[in-house]
Amino acid sequence: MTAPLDRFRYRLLIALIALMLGGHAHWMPPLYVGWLCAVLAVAGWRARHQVRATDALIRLPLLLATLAALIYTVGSPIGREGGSALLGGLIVLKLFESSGRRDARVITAAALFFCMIGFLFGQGLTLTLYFCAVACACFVTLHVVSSSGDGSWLGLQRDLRRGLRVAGRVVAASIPLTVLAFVFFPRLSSPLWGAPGMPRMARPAFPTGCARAH
Amino acid sequence: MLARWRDNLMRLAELRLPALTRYRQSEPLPIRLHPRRVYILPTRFGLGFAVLLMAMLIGALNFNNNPALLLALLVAATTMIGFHHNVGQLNKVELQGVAADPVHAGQPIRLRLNFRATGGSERPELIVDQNDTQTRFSLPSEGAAEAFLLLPTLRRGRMPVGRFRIWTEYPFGITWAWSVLHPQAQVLVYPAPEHAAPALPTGDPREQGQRLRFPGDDWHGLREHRPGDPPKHVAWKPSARQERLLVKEFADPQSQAVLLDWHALHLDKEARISRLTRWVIDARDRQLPFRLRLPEIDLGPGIGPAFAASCLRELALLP
Repeated sequence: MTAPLDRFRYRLLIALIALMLGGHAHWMPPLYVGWLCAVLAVAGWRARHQVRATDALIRLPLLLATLAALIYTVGSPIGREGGSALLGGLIVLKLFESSGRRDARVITAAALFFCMIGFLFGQGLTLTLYFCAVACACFVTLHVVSSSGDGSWLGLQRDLRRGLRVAGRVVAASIPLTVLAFVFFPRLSSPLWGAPGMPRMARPAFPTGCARAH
Repeated sequence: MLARWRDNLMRLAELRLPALTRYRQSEPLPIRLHPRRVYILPTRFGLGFAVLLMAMLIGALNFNNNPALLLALLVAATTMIGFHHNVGQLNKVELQGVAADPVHAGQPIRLRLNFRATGGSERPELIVDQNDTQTRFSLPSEGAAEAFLLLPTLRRGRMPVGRFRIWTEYPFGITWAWSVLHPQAQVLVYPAPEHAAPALPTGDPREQGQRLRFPGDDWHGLREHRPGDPPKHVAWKPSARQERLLVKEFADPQSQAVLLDWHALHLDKEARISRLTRWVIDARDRQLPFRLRLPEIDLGPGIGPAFAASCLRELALLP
């Protein structure tokens, strides 16, 4: 039996997922993002007094509704956009069956992975910095959900301050190692498997039969 | 079945891996932790996190996606630096003392473990455990703290505190660092009192009115003066008649003291100890003076919690 998750830590988790979704808003259909935000709001409202896992009779319709919203807005759940949007939806829905700190850790790790997924849809400097900041927030959340708080708002504030200090220090100490590894880490000369949307999969814009104009 | 298999594996590990387990031997206090005796392993979540991290790295490399690779490496580096913080939580922690208030056999004993940090930062999430009991405490930087551990007691006498483990998953819950502490310390366990014991025996009839406690309040008689007797006790008129110095003597009869006699009980050894323990507790609770006569030692008469504690101690330490 894992330690229970208090409502303040649960809200912190919701805030983290909202941050994570914020980085994906540029490519996800607004309607789908809106739906996920609404589901997040319901999760927050549900846990206003106590955090407990929701009954399967509520979770199943929510899952079906999210799938319907995904198919309506994105199309098929298979493929890069569809699969990524589905993963985002599943992370949000995981909140409804979370009541322990172990669940919170799993959601945080999934959020970290979903940050990386974001780079499939954009690789700008702003987005990179944003997702690195979200990764730091994930470590702060991991610290807070691992701490044995007393379940009070003041306890969360204390843990959050300590988490910011500790995670900030650890992340700052890891930056030189990250840069060094980034520079010297060997790259693959060719992908291990077919990567959709990669340059080698691109097709010329002109039909092969076009003749060069003279 | 699983527990037996685990115990066998641990025993084998101790036989085959002395380097790993040498610190499990009992050692005198204080015990100071240092990095060579702090071990680290991933938690169950940490194992899943490692798989996720590998997936992130392979995905980033496969897609030749530099920002994704940067993020994956940042996460990996942060996790690795977290290992050092995890071990650092136990480094320079010192166990200075172990103490406990005695309890009767069968009751849980509350161990007080005195820890002190001899350097480094605050350690907010330390856990001490032994078998199924565990307690969480925090240790301020360059400060001391007490951890309390409830342990079961089975038999009277001196009980070795045994091995226990100090561990932490701080800061991120990805790894857990631990060390084993086995201090050379013992705590006292009193005998278990008999449940349906006969009533407390009142004074010994053979001694009724015979044994006296000097000095007392009641007039007892006259005796010859001894050097050091106070002048106010000198009986001048009888001294003049007898032509020698006599003093008045005062004494209290001692027969009110309850005699708890080992030899008067015709039971086996543990049953005698158990009954005498019950009577000592009853006499203490009723504020009665009592004597305890044991095979090798005669205690009292005395009264009060301190005297009762010394009697219970002698009962606990009987061979």
